Amino acid sequence: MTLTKLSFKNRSPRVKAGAALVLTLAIALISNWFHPFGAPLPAIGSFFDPAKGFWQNAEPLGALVNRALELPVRGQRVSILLDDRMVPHIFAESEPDAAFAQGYITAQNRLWQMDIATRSVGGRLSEVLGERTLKRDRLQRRKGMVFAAERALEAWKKNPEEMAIIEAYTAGVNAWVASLKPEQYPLEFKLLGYTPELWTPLKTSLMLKNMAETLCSRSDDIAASNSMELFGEELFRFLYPEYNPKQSPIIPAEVSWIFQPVGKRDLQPQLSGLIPFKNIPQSPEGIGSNNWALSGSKTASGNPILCNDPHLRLTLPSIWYEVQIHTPELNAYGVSLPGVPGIVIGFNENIAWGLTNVGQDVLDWYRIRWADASKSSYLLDGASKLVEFREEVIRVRGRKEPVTDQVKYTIWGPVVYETEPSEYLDMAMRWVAHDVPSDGCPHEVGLFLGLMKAKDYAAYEAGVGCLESPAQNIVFASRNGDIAITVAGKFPIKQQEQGRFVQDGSLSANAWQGFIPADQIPKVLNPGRGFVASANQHSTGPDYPYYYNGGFDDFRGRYINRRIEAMKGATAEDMMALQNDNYSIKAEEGAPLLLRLLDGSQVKDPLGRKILADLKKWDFRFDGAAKTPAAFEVWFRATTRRAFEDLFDFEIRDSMEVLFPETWRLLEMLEQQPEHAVFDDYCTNHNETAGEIVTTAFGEMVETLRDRYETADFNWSKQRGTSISHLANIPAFSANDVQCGGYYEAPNAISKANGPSWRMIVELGDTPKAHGVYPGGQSGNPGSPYYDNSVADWAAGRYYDLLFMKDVNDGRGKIRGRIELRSK
Amino acid sequence: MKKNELSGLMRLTAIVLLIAVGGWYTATLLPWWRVLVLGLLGGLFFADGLKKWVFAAGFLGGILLWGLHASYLSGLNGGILGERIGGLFGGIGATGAIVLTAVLGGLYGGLGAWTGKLVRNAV
Repeated sequence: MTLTKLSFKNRSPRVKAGAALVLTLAIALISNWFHPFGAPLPAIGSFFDPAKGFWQNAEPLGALVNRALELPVRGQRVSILLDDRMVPHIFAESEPDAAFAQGYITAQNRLWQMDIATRSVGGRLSEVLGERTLKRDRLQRRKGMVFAAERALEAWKKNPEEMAIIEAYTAGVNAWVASLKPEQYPLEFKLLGYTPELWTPLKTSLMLKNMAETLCSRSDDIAASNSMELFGEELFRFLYPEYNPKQSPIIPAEVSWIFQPVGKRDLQPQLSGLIPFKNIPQSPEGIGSNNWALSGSKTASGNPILCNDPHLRLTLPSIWYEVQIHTPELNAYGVSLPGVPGIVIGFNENIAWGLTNVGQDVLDWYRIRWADASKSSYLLDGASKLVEFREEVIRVRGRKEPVTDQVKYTIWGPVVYETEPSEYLDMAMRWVAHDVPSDGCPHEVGLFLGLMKAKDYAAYEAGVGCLESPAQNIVFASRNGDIAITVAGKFPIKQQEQGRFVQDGSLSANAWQGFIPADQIPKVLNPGRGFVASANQHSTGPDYPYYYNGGFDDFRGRYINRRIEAMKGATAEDMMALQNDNYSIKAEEGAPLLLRLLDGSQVKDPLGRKILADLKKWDFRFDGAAKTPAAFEVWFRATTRRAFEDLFDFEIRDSMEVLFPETWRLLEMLEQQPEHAVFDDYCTNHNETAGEIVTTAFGEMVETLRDRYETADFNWSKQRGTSISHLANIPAFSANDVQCGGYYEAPNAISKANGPSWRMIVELGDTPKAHGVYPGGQSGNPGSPYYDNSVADWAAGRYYDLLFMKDVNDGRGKIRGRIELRSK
Repeated sequence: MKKNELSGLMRLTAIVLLIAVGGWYTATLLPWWRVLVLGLLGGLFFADGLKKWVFAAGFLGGILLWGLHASYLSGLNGGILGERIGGLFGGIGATGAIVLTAVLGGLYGGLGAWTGKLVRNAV
């Protein structure tokens, strides 16, 4: 070091100056370099510059927003009032103006979320994230997500009123984008080193397809086909029955089906043989929801109460953005999806509505038989048919040339998976969300606008009849006392078990036979029991004339129905308690059953005895601070694994998708046939029974928890470990280890990464009284005090009184900011 | 008074102020490298005859410019953002994020001034 210094000092001034210039220039270039030397760093110089970089995203606490802007709105003025939680209350003279303001204020708060979500669904992540997302982008394109969004947009364009709203919303987003200076870009753009682009109606369509993908793209066809092939029909039917006799369906038994169902039912589904694919991406389990409405006969006030808590992936920024929209025609409050105009779940002065997902399978796989080696044509009823190619161009950051993919479209849909070298295994995807939406009916945006305006059941019925995908159980309550629920959506007419397995795509007879007519879909208005409710369970009892195939366990649905059945004089507080209820019927049935089957004499060590004693006095509640739920969960999982994993040998499980029996079926088998051969471990000479499996699983559970169970800070919340992750999975921008109770099979369906993404309770009456909370905050900026301000209240089960303003002066002292848009 | 008659301390102070004050007033005009360039100008015009402390003066100028600005913004924000950015860089907290920002500003200012002085000496 000294030598170097000396030698530098002794150089001529020119050499020194030259060296210094080179060094400075090098440091400048490195500081200006995104991902210098491949390190995951932003361009350091501009990122840290307080005048340009991330510090500009540090939102001053308690700052009042008061701005008047000249923007291209149609009416004289649009007022956006921001309340103490930064919920915008939009007052406009027309619906397009309201949509413009909604686009503007949503973009102001959630621009990066809107950008990354559309990139994610449409396969454009690699443009900004490089090679690491290329595989995902390619799959999104092959699944036809952009194709679906484009088709939907074409249909929207035929409906000028709806399109005017979408275009006004787009203009509002873009008015915000155009006003941004680089230092005002949302933090993530600076961190990831790219710039915001303009919004388009296609992106709104992509956002809705994103919901369709999340909610209705689950499919067990491949796993079921393999299991059927491996077990044969008898064992398959024993392990995987489709209807739980304890089921408590959404539509009560009092509703009868007095119609002649359409479609044939004489064909047998074609089975396809083993499909050696593994790791097919699925939407995660734990995506489900609860909703219910009580008629005035069950409430203390005599007014109906409607409740909804959609369980989705818990993210920051949150999936929802709260908003009130007021025009001369409507006054509605609720949550919106950033990128989509209008309110998705909410209420107005007269009605309230809420959504849960319908479990019905609307995505089926068809095996393609190619007619030629180049896979440009396929066989259909013995004749050869050309595929249609759709070129997908994926730009990749860091690559000069984009990646192109020629995706093949068949009469079923896109060929998503192509395996080498076998030409037989290629599969095409038939998915309801790819279909061109029907004409003559409002589409998603128009439909929600219709609900925002609806005054009574008739308006609700007209609107929900138009929903196609994703299918939703839409609950309804009105000020004049009606309650209702509709299993709304476009449901393929299927023969018994059609689409449960992968089908032969070379026979057109295997196609869906059209869709269930709108007047035959399950719904009920003012049932005698005084309430309607759904929690993703079966829509109807087995007497409904159409085939239903859906894979949600029904513990939540059964419990909610049981609880509301017993309620009288219910209040909003009772509803809050039910939404936050940690009780699970899975535990109520499972824990006593496992305890009965357990050979207690084998439990010898003190910790095992302690846990056993705890389990015996457990109240079946997954409270965050309790330890026993952790023991039950680990024990139950070990039992399931031990019961079923040796049904398939390792080679099979590692090479293809297989189906595990549903939880309710495991409980039923444990209870009714504990000595059945499925419980025998084929690897031993001895004939195992359920009792032995349960006992071994108990020992395994005790070992798993040995070092933790009796420590002071161990509890169920820790064991489950819930985090609300930033959309780019940046831990420093996430809410990690949120302490709360809840279980995915309890009404308070909090799991590791999913949970109640919005809890809403609306009591109708002269003025609706509403309460709501979601785990996040209105701002998408990690540097804002409104980024995650609601997380603690949500975790504790607290609610906010929603400020439903009658007019622009009805702020009740809660207005903190005001943005006035005036016509240019 | 001509600038080569300024005392050493005053000249160093001029470098500090050029970066800190000049950097503040050019914030909306120029990108982050204005700190480097202002340092360079300071070194070129004010470092004549100075043997020591030129880098330190540039460093101080940069620290003042970026450190004070970052502290001010972080203060208004209650450290919310600083805490999160600190989390990105190994959990150094809001204070750590401010220090890191200040040190980077200092480094650029110091490097600029030092280079400016050497260039001045060479011509």
